[in-house]
Amino acid sequence: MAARRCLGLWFFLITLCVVSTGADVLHTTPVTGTESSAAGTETVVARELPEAPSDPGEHTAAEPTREGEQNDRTRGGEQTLGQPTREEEQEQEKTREGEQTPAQPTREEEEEEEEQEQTRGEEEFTREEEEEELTREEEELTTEEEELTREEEEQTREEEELTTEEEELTTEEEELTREEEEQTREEEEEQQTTAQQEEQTKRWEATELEEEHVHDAAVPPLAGDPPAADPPSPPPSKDDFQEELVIRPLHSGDIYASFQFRTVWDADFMGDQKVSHYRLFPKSLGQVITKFSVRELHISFTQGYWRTMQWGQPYLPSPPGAELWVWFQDTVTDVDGTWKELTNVLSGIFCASLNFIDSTNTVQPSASFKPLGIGNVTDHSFLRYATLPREIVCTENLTPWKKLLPCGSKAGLSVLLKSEKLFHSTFHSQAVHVRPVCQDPQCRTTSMELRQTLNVVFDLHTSGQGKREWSLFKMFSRTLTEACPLASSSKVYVDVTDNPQGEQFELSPATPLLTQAVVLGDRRTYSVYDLTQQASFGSSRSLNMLLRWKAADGYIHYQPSKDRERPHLLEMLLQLPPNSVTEVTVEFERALLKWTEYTPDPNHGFYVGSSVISALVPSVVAMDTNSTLDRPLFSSFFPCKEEASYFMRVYTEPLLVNLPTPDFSMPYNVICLTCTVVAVGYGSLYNLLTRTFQVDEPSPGLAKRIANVIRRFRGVPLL
Amino acid sequence: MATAEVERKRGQLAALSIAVVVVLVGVPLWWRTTETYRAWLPVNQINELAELQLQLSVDVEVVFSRGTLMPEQQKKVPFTRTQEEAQKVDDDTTLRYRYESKYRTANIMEEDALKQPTAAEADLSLHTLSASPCGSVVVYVIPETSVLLPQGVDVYIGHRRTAVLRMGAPMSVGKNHKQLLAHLEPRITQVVQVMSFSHTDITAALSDRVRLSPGSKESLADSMRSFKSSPGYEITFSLLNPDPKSHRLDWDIEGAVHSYIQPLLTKLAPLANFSIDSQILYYAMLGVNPRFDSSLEAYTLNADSLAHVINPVEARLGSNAASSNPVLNFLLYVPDAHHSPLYIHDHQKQPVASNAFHSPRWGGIMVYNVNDLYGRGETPLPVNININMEKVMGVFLAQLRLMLGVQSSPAPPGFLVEPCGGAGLADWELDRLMWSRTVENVATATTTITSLAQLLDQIGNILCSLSFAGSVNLFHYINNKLGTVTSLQLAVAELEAGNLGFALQYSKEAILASERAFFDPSLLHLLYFPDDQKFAIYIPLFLPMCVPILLSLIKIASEARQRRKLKQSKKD
Repeated sequence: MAARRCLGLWFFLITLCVVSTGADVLHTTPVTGTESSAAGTETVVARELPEAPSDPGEHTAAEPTREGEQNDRTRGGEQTLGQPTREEEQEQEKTREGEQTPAQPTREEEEEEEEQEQTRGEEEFTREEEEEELTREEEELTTEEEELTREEEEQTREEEELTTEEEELTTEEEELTREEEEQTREEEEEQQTTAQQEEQTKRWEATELEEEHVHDAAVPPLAGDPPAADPPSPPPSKDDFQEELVIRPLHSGDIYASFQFRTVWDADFMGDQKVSHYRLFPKSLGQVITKFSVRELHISFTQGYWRTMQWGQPYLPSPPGAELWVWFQDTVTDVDGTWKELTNVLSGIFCASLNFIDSTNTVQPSASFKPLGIGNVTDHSFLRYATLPREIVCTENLTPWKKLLPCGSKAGLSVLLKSEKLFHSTFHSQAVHVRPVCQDPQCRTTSMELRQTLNVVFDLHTSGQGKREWSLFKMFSRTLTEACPLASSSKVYVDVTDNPQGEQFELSPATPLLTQAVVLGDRRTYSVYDLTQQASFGSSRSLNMLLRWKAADGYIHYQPSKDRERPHLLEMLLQLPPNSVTEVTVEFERALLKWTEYTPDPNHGFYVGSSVISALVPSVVAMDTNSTLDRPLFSSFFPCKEEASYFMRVYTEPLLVNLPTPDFSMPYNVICLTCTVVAVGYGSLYNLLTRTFQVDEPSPGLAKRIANVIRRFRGVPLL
Repeated sequence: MATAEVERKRGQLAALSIAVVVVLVGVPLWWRTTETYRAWLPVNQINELAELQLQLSVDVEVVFSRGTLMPEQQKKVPFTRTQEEAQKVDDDTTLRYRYESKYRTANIMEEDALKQPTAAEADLSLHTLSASPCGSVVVYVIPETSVLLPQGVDVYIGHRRTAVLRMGAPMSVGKNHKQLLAHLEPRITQVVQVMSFSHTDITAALSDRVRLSPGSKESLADSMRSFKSSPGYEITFSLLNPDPKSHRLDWDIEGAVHSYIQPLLTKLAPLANFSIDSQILYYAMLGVNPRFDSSLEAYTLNADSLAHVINPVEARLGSNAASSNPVLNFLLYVPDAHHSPLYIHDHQKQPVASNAFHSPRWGGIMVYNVNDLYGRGETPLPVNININMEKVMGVFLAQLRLMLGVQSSPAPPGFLVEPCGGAGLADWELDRLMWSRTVENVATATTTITSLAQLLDQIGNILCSLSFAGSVNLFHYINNKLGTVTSLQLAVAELEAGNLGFALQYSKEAILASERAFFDPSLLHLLYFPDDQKFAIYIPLFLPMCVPILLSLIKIASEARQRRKLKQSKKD
């Protein structure tokens, strides 16, 4: 009866309008919730979704069942304190599944993914959506759990950061990674022991080779026309790999990181000769391009929505969900068939539900999606475009994407791509773009360009713990130690356009290298860290860029609620500019309570308690800070610390919220109706079954007698 | 009373007619409309195929050179003889081998060819004289005294489809031509078994169909090593570079493939389609940490741990996205500076000369040590390394032959088998492979199609009965496009006729068609229709309809019985 919860699709606002005349400091403490009038306790309840913006659809869909589970558990009273609600739910789900949560599941997870991917590759056509979603959810859970442990680690780490020097920190980080490596190795060994049993059936044999054979095999080319002197094919085509990371601090305090990996290969995919010898270019993708005669391929997976108003324009825009558009070569005759096959294969490669692309969601834009590479193709019958907005992007899409990189996730910028961090973000978008580009300025020959991009926006409050301070380690839980040895260029850019004199934020280690680039019609300035130069790593041999915002003027404390246990608490420290209006809005969801938890008058609504604004307001006269002085009682309640301002507390009015109320009589209605139907059916059946068919009856029965009475009235012959 | 009786009769008639209409019209209508559509199936023919009777015919030509025949024997030549041998493999499978031997004397040119100084040259010139068709064997019988073959060698098998057989002294053989044949035939059969097929090969090829009694571990391993027959193979060469910081690897894979692998594959082209890919994988680690052996000053990998080597690598190899053919992986691992040199030890703890190993039906791995190139730490890393492809491809070629099942059994004593030359594969080796592959294909296709027919037989009544449109597309494959049954019949017929090339071709088509039929997606459309759902749909419809009808029928029946009783009592 006590706990009150709200959830649902409505949003309602608590509006705190503070009109101030001076530079006021306000403590606003909106305790949002409903108050139980019957019980008179202060339990509260508004439930704010911490990640609502990242994926509203999924949450609303998944919420009810989780709610129920959680309710069950809270009754059980096993709750551990001090953790946000979602994590607990997950933990609970986990334990119910009987899975042990691994302490360091990173590697295992990857393995799992890989296994998954393999099976997916095999079953790519028969995959079921449900299964997929299930596994995805599981993965989500594990990642978020890891996230939790990692956050804890990080916190302790940051405490150390304060006391110890940076060098020590980095060594410890290295140790950490080393420990991880050891653990992964252990895990691998475990895996091996299990694998051993599988491998028992397979026999591994040393290849015994007769020397003659080798020579025999080797002789012909040497004896015949010398192949060494006259190679049958041209020398291996040149390929080149570049990697790049751009970091842009956003005004909202969030941070935007954009990775680009570019592989250019001077191979002619469009010619007659089959391309089959791969070096830096990934084989799996190359085979697809060759087999399906793809001219250009653009595929993107995005989770979350890009907020242009707050964040400005992204470097590479992409729609939420999955997007795929492909230009086929003009040699393709059956474009639709090829497109169908291609989507199936790509769904296997990227572990995504691209196989749900069919003619119902495929279009051929005639104007907007022109080829991005060279070649002026105008016949849009070779273009196919499809989006799957429902596609949920998660680690199983990231792993195959990382596999396309020549350095994998072992070296270079790609070590930063840890899925548990990347997916704990507001916006995540990964894409693969394949297109033909010019090989030289004259554009006589073409090369194939593969661009893999990954954009991610980290939220200040969920990832940054509210501190206006970012570092590579904080964002990715990794630091950079080397460039990918295969990369011809490996650079990190930090957008410092809005920070020319360093008044907004402080960037360390500072770099003398500055470069300017025109992006989206604007000239921007970037600090550049060249990872191929050993100097950029400094003495600690690891690069952990630190970006500290100078004006740390805000403070937000948010404690999420636990159902039936604890209300939400949101505290904000704001410095309000003069003559301004500040609005604080809190989104609510409404939910159905357990039916025993409704008050006797549920239609009255539920109360949300007042918000509290505590403010230091400039005083017209100098205040007396001496508390010992004898003053009237009414003027001495709030202690006064500053002479120039006085303390004030404002309460807003409580809010009455209408929650969805079920029709409490409904179960009885249903039971009644069912019973009636059954009774009628059963009655007539019974009647039919028990009726006796007697030809003659000595004394007419009651019915007959009544019938005869009626007949007599009507003058009809009697029965 | 009479009107009531008439009324009652009319009611009874009405109830009866409704029941009749329901039974005659309603039930058949319901049955027809909810029936699973089933295209016509050649069930009889499939059942015939379930009992496989394979007959393999080989044309053997036996040519007597001068000095091998007694005059009275010579009179009888040429003649033909057919030898048949039946083997029952299991209840459903019987094999019959048929050797059609044609005996004749050598013509002058062949005599000349046989006078060449060495057997290899004789083999070549005999080949130029006449090209024997695929699957046939020519045996030249030479006199005891001939110097063509070295001492102690009785049979010489060259690169083509010819063999040279040394005959015992005519006197010891006997004068009668029956005695001659009694002496020759077992030896010729032995030659044919080496050059075309032996019973063990064929039963091994039938392993898909026939559960063999577990033989020795060794023979099992032999039979499991090579890949199963498939219409195509993907060969992938991967260069594993565990540490691009310590060395930069360069391999001329295109040239090497062209000069070493391609000739073999061209030869094998009738067997299957091959496609070759290569890739370089960076940061590809082995799954096992090699042990440092201080006595050798080298790292070693034991045979026991080899199984775990590829697990982490395999995840990165990637399956071929563009086709579903089996992939043969050949990995070249170049250990980095800190783990070099690396040697593979066999079960006896002896280093393996080739420093390579292979896994059955998977591929091979070779470790390529470049220790000497590192110097002693003076050279700046990364070191540029050019890989000697001759050394590598020798190993890979040997492994490829093993994987493809070329030449599995060793030659019996007294046989001299010319080692394969430039093409890497002798004609008769190819024939051998084609025989076993054809039989394997036929066995696989028959198994597939019979089990599919069984499946349809079993499941049709239970699960598919509710659908309107059925799996229409399934048997288009079988009946139109030269389906499984037809191709199988053709393949079996061609085998009987001894046309190996056509038989293989048809057997490949059969296997393709059978796979297509088996994995046809339309089969799944109406599978899994649970019974409870069916009832949920039927009950609201049938119950209200049937109950009154049944009741009135019961009533009529009981009345009729009563009337009869009444009549009987009246009679009494």
